[in-house]
Amino acid sequence: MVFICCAFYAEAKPVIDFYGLKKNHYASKFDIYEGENIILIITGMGTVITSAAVSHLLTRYSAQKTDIALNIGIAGAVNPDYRKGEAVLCNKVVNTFSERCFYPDILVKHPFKEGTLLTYPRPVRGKEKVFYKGDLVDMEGAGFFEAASSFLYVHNIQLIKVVYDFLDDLSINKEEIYGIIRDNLQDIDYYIKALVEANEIIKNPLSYEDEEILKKIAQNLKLTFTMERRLYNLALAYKIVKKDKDLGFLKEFLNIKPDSKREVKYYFELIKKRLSV
Amino acid sequence: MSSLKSGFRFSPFSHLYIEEKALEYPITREITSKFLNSNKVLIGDYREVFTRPRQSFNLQKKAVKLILAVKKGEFLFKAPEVCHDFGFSNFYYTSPILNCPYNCSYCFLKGMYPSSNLVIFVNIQDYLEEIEKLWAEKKNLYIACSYETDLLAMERIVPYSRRFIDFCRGKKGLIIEVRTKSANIDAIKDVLPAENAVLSWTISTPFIAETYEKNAPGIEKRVMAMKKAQELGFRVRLCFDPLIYYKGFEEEFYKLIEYIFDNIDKSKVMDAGIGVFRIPKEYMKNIRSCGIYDEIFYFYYEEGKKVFSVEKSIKEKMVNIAVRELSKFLPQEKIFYL
Ligand code: SF4
Repeated sequence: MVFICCAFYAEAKPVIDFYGLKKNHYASKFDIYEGENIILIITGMGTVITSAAVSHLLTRYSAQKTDIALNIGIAGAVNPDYRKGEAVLCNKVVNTFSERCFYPDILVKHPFKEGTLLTYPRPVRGKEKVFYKGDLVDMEGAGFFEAASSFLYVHNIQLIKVVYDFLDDLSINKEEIYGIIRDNLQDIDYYIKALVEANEIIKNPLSYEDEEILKKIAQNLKLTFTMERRLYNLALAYKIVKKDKDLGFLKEFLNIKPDSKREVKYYFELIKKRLSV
Repeated sequence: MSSLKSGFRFSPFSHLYIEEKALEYPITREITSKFLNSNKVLIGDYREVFTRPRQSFNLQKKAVKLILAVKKGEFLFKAPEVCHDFGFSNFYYTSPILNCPYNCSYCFLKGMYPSSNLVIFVNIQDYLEEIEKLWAEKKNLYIACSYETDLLAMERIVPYSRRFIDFCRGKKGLIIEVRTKSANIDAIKDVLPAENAVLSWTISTPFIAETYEKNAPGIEKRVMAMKKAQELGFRVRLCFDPLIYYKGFEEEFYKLIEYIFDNIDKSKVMDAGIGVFRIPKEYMKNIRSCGIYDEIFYFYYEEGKKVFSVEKSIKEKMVNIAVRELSKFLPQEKIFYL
């Protein structure tokens, strides 16, 4: 799954159009748009609300570590080498309030410039008000990263900021924002696909179906937490060592509901034997 | 979103994370000058990057980054029981680099570190001074300086093997061991060998090298590097560690030993170490709980007090074969096993 977070609608609109996302009318706290494998949330502005939105999103959709979260939005540039409309991939994010720094892991080649993002708690007008070393200024990035890093691999948390101003004019032109984000979406899409493929390499050999079988068996056999972990680890080892052999043979245990602890033990030992490597 | 093949590529060495304190060291300048196209990201402390939560060790291996840092705290550590001491009581190890450019499936570093990025501590002089102090105190001292990395493989990026060799030359009672799987002997061909510097090559049977030692040079290249090291005048040690059992091990091991001693000068082999695959329990736990799925960590192992290892009978079988074959070329007192 790919989760995209934008601070406000004007930033989200080009992404919604690009991927043909549909609004989820049942979502209450935050506006959420859904596609086949992409979910977009409009977080609101500021680190606290962004953190809340990201946590809400990743919990609601049961995010796995190999899912991807992107913060896409506009930013003001401190670095004069950037030009308006240019997309920058952030390799360092500074929360200027807590002074904590975060480093997204950048593992695949990409077409963007890179830079340090400074997240301020309020809008910054004038470069002379920027007291930290950095290239870009926003109000959400650090909150996004900090929340997402409780859920996902650090290489799956990425921030792409499109340069909108140079901290000289804080007025917002929605059409202009739409245009500059849209113009970068082809590259962003390429990057997302690259990340998705990279994650394939490290994906858990136990499929969703395998996990469902294991869960159901554990439930029916009333396994303790430790026994359930053991079952999971044995199944994982089996799948790895036997080179992706199907776990379908465990289906015969799906409907067994033992009456006594002795029976539980009996079936557990039986399954262990079948899963030995 | 369709699952198109994006044709992406990983980006090794695309980033250098540099502690601000490290900027003032000449080695930092030397290293950065070799990576002109990489992004340089300034950091406060290397742990901000190295110990981030939820890093993928195996994926980072495909796009490894450099972290340049200044080491603080302890520099030397008493070697753990799972390591060969080769008969030395004052056996210490030191780690001027964390992690290794190779990517062996069985590598214990996967359970030891949360990241596979390479940390280079640029204050090498502080390491040498600490060794000098301990040597002055103990008189006899054995230092392994390439256990958590492969110093010789890193020599073109940071020339630390030569620093250690130059440092120990003439220091009686001090022995420095550089362990490697590298064929990069040319990187130190201009270095004057030192009596008390040991270059120690880890060699596996071809099947294990091809299956589990991705990125490391093949066996022929390692043996040729050993041969050249001997010709240059270095003391050479052979390490058959970890031995991993499979059908055909005995036959391949026999051929491997024949091949090695057909090519190198047995009279110039300092000694040989043998060790069967083993891994501390804590590392195994880390590996199995953090999304590392290399099959070697999922075979059945016997659980000892502190380590997981193969069954006793298999262990004895492998050690017996290795000792038997090595004894054809080396005297018993030069063969060490765990
Ligand atoms: S050479 Fe040694 S340290 Fe390097 S990856 Fe292989 S086992 Fe690990």
